[in-house]
Amino acid sequence: MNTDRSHDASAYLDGASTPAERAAVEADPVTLGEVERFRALRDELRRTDEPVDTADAAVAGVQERAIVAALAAFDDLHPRRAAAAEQMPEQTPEPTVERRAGSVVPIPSRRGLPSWLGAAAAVVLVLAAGALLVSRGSGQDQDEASTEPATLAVTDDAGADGAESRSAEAATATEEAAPMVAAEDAPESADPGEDATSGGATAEGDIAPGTEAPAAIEAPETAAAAVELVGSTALAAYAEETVTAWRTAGTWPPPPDDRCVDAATAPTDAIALGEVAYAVSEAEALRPALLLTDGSTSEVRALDPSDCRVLDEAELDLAAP
Amino acid sequence: MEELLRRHTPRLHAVCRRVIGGSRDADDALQETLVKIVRSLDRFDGRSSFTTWTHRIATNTALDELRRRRRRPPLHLVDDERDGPVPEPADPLADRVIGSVADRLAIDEALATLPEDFRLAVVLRDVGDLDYAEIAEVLDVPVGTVKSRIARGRAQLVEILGNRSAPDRRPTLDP
Repeated sequence: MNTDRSHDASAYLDGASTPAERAAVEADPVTLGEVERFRALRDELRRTDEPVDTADAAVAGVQERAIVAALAAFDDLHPRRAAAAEQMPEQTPEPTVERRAGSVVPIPSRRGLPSWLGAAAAVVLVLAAGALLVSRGSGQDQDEASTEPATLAVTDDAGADGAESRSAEAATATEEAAPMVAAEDAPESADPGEDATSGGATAEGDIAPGTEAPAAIEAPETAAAAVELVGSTALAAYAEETVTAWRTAGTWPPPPDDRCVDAATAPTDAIALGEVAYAVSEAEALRPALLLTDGSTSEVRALDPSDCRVLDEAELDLAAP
Repeated sequence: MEELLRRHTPRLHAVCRRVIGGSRDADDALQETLVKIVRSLDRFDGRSSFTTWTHRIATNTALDELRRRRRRPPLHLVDDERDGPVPEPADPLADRVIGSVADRLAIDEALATLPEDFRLAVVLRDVGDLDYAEIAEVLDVPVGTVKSRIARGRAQLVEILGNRSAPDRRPTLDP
């Protein structure tokens, strides 16, 4: 086994080679053979996970049971939402839903909101952080304590309260979520074995309490460029998943971010989905991009945050919230 | 929520199965993964893609399950009827069933012999279909490390499967 050849072949198969590396692989029949072996392996790995027979009905059953269990857990966490869902059939849209839909405030309007609202949000953040520290000190069950405020924020907040909701959400992050954030921010280790095991261990929630709060409340900008997207299909898929996840969690719309809304190219009711690293195609280099969607989430645009130039746009296919 | 779960469940299940091996432990890991996802969904902050975030949870949950299993004494040689006795070939589909089960066992065995770092990287790439940057985020290692682990993991798998398979079973993996 030639390690360099394996590396070249593997990168080639994944489309991760530079043009020069690609040319070198294509000029070497032995490396091309390695590529084909890796391709066959990949196909085999994928093929043997596809349902093929009645025995795989058991797989579907397992997945169905897992989904049912997860939905039950979801309803336990959001009893008011579950009750509302039961009342939904044959009724006009439920008031809570209407209020949330109406809470998508055009960004120019948000900027016109009274200044005391920002101060109030800051006060809520400080109080929530204080409450978190107090509750940690008293050794309370963080999971139970933290889900309730999040639920209240979902059902009671409106419009510009988004900032408060997100702040409370960050401040009340539990042991389960904080390790993931902490893991993202952990320094890179040179020891591969240590790298992988640390990822697993942190999911257990073994992080010392003192390390969680700063990680959970950390400003989003520090890791904003972690997501790399290439092409409008990836752009649309990322936007759809982000919007769907936020809607499902009840944290939609996200906090106001009025960067680039003055640009003629941005929709007037733009909602920021955050920053990513974006390239229109594989041939281009990744660059920071601010993602904006319109209030009806029918499209997403990637803009250069430095000059608000539109880099790309894509239509979204999202069901109504 | 249900739609979101249904969209991601098959792939997350595949990742759990490939990390742990085809067994009930993988099924348990899937259920635990989905419950963790819904319980922490309101803390998903969009800093990574939703897919990356769910794969991170699945990977860590599967690893935890695997470690728990290693601490348990083995009760049976075969721990799941899905991977156990193969039905008699009574219909045209039977050969395919047998072949599929055999392939799964061979790949599960081969994956089990890989170092954990390599197995995770290969599974997330070839089964989870994540790109290098996403895998780097899930595993919390540099992209270069991901690239290297995938290459070395694939090379070892090809070698193992190539040595094990009969010439007529998996000719494409044989050099």
